[in-house]
Amino acid sequence: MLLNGIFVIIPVIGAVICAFLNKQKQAPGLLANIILLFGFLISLHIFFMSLGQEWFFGEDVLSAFMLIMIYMVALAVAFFAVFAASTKRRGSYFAILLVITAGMAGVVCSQDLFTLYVFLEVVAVASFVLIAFYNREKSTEGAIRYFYLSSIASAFILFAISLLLLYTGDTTYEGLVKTILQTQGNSAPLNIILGTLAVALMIKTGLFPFHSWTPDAYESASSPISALLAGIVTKVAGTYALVLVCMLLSIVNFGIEHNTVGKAIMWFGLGSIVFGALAAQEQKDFKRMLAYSSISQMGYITIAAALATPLAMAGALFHIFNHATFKTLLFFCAGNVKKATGTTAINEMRGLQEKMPYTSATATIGMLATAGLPPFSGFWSKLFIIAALWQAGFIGMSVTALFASVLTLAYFLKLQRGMFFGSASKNIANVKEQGMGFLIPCFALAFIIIAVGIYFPFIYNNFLSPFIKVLQ
Amino acid sequence: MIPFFPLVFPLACIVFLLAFKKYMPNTPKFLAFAGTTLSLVAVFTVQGTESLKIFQDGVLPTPFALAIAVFIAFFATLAALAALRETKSPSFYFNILLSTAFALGAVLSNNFIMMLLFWEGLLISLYLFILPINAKTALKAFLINAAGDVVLLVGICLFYLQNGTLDFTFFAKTNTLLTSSGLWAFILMFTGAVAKAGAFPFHNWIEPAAMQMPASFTAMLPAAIEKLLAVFLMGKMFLIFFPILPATAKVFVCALGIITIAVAAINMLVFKDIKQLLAWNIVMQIGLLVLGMGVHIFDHLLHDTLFVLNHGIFKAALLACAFFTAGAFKLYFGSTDIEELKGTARHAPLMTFVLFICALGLSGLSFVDIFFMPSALVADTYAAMPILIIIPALAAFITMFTFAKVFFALLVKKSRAKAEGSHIYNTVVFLSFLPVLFFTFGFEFSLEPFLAPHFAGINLSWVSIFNILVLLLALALAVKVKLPSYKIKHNTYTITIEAITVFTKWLYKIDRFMDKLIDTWPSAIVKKISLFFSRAHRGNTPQYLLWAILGLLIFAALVSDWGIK
Amino acid sequence: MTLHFFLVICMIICALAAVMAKRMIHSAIFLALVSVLLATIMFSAYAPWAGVFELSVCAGLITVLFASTASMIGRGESYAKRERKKFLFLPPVLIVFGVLVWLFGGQITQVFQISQTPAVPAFMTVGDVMWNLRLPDLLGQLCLFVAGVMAVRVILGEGSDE
Repeated sequence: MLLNGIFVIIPVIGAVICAFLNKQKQAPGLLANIILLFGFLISLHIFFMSLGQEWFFGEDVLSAFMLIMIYMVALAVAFFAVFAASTKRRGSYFAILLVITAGMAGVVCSQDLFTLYVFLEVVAVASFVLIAFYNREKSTEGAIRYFYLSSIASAFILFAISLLLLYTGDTTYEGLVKTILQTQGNSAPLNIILGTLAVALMIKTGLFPFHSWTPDAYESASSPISALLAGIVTKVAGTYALVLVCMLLSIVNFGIEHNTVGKAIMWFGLGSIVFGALAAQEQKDFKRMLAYSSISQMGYITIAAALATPLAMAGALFHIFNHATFKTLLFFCAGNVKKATGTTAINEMRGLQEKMPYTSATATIGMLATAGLPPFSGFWSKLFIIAALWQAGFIGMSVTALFASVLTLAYFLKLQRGMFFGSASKNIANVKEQGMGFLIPCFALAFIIIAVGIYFPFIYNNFLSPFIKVLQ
Repeated sequence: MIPFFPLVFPLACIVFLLAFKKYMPNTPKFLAFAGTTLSLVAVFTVQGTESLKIFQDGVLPTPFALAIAVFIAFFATLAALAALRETKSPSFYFNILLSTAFALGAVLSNNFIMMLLFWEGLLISLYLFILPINAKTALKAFLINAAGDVVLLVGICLFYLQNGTLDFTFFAKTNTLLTSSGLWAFILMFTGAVAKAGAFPFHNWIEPAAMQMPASFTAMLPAAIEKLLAVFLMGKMFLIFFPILPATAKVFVCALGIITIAVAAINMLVFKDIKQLLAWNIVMQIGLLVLGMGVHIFDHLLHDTLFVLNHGIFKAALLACAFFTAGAFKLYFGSTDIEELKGTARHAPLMTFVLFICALGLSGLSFVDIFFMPSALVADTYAAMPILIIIPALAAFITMFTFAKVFFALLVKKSRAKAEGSHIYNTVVFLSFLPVLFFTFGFEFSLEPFLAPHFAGINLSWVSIFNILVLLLALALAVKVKLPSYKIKHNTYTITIEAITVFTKWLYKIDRFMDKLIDTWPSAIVKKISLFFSRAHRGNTPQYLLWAILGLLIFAALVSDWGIK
Repeated sequence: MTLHFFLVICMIICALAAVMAKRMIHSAIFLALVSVLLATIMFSAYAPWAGVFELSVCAGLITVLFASTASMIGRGESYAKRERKKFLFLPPVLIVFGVLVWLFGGQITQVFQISQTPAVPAFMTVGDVMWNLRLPDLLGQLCLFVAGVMAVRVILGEGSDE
């Protein structure tokens, strides 16, 4: 942990500095971007260094990978926020951004359940603040709802930790692994502990039926914040820890027959997939639709993580990465649209493509990637997940997941037609494309989506198959 | 990609054409000619072996394929040259290049997938060719060819299912035992292979296309290239199915050939136009070819079947040459109708002579063919089933009869205005006559199995005497007997189209129902569900908590093994 | 054991009262009571340091802050009454939950084989635990502190933007 502690400490120090620069216009944003950029580069360096190394929770390839993603999305959001944040309290804004980055870095670098809990609390508080930043009534309400459910989740985590202390007296991951190996994973206490932990993390991820806070939170937060939340916070706070739990569960129970907790998580994942896809069909607001879509995608990640075969795990992690890129991109485009037209209601705009070509193009790329169309990156990760489900014998689940993919395509196509394509409506007569500052993150993310999709064989050979082999 | 090297030139020329046609209006012609010539040169250079074997391992195309490719490129070049005088539309040149590219690709590929790709590409170029002239004929040609291609596709799929591979080299090495699905594969593939060249029932488009399009198109595509492709694929198929074929296959192939010949003969007798006559000749020749293949199927001799294939190439050359000649007549005298061409023999003696030689070859005069195919055909048909000898005899008879009528018309003494010749066109005709000459007099050369003559020299067996007698009879009758004049209304195309109309009405009804099933009802259901969910999220916090508690209970239930699946 | 049990029930009742109290200052006092009870539990569970922290910070400092703020807000009464109706469902739910725990709690304890006697006191001092064993948690606490300060500043701080 301490080796990677700099990823936590530096943003916190930066946050404190930014907090004192509240009234400055440029400085906080600049500072935040510089810190995050350096963090990103260093995390890339660490990732490539740790590629061949052993599996060791908290200081290994997985942590480095998540660190890269955290810093990448945070950097994109910080950059976008420099232009999109319409607040006078820029110091506080970027300070909180840095704090939440620090918190997430702490989550992925922790080697102990209690540390995980503390940093999850950091993330929760910081997200609450970010959602309610503009102090509008709606956003505060959304933030409070988030906080209710998040508190319940924290309570459950604490409960699980306390049970664990009762059982083994040791909350580190190593200890947990030892215990699991000792009891051959068949002990009911361990199932209860991990099950409680899983429920808590499912709440934090926003899986069905614990998802209720996500649509309100995403809709009422401002666009960079929604991008951050959907893009990385729910992933780090929720799915990363769920992936850990599932990995722990599967250490002995590889074949999932005895792994009741894993199976339960899989069912919830499947429910999320279907629910998210169905509920998103009739949404009238762009951001709400994206929120439901996120629920669906989280379901994919969860179901694959819970299955925990090497292929499924690789698919889950790859999908985490992909979803980070495309959801962030889509929320950025939503932000552009909101800034340009003043609303995100789908009915009120048509034919934005003429006026905002770049936004439309990148949004289309993001949507097609989410739906899982080749040659974008989303296709490959979804393929992995569905193939892993099929291979493990869960034919019904994989077929359902495939159908949900079709549903995803359906609502996104509706969205595209309704908002971007079609003949221009009168409302958007004065709409202009956003400036470069808004578009650069969009382009960068779209580029990553396309590049990963096209160069997938390269990525597969260099990153994923070694990963799969290590897991085996 | 070495085998596809000759493709580079037509393709590059196409790209240039598309990119620069605005700037240089004369470019298309030049590019077409350049493309086809260069591809011809390129085919010559793609030689990878010393001997001209049919069997070939590895990546390079077999010499057989290369020879076919040479002819394809050659005729394409001639067509490009001929087109210089015949048309000004740039799309014509574009289509020449496209067809060349596709045909070369089909011949030079080393597995069925690539071959199919290019084979079906020819559909597009065919359609594009005829489209500016007559949309209906274009559609007809496209549909008929497409039907043939579908048959071929199904045959290849069946073949793949049976053998598990689509590589050409596979076949050369192993023997394939035929099951019933294999028999179907053979039948379908064979029909598909000769469909493009005009076997029954895929023959209806050739006549309208030949009549309406300039001669260079007809000389290139239906006459030469498609026949060559049919020969190519028949050759490959023969290698595939070499060892064992049941009797039903033989009967099928012979029947196909006979029906084709019959249909062509009926239609030939009512010709009014040289091009029409030549178009039905195309059909008849492929019928003869198919009959020849059918008769030889039981032979385990590679030798004899190869001659049928070589004969096919020869006939392709003959037909191309004949069409170029017809085009020359059109160019000089303005039409190819027999009535209007009366007495033109004096003004275009060279053309008439070339046409005469081609007619002799088409009718099957014995020594006008290095391989003496007609004799061999007659002899083998007799050997297979004696009564069948009447078929090739009839074919020869009718061909000679109709051509004799043409020549008598041409040779009538009638004064006409003198016609303007064209150097380019004369060159084209001359060049296309060269293969004919080669095939006729080249029996001096003794080449490997691919080109070795069967009956070298003038043969006086009973077969060739019979042949000559039939032809003389035809000639004699042509002096006196008039051509019948019945009108042929129905053909397979029209009947099929009518049947399809009825069929499509029912399909539409079924489709509407399926649409409801698949689209309307599920969308309504999904919409209802989605609206329900979106109304369930209107901001009522306790409701959210209730959802969460419900989820917790379900989770606990699942985990504690109560009813877990 | 029964002492703990009794203290926990009292704690829950005090917490419920804190949520449903009419006046804010009453809520603050009930929160203080909750902290005191918790500190008592900690003392009796042989965790004196935790008890001390709990008592001084939560029951002491925070209650002082709450009480002073609550007394500064004048219209506490009418505000609280409107909100109270929302929480009327809580007591019944808690009672049901209590009954469920009483019925099934035994099974859980059996599963965990929780013994009646308290755990053996640790051999490490608090300082050791905090600095050697739990250093990452301290870092987390620091981040939490910064986050909390920022939260207060943003949400309750000077000037809102919209």
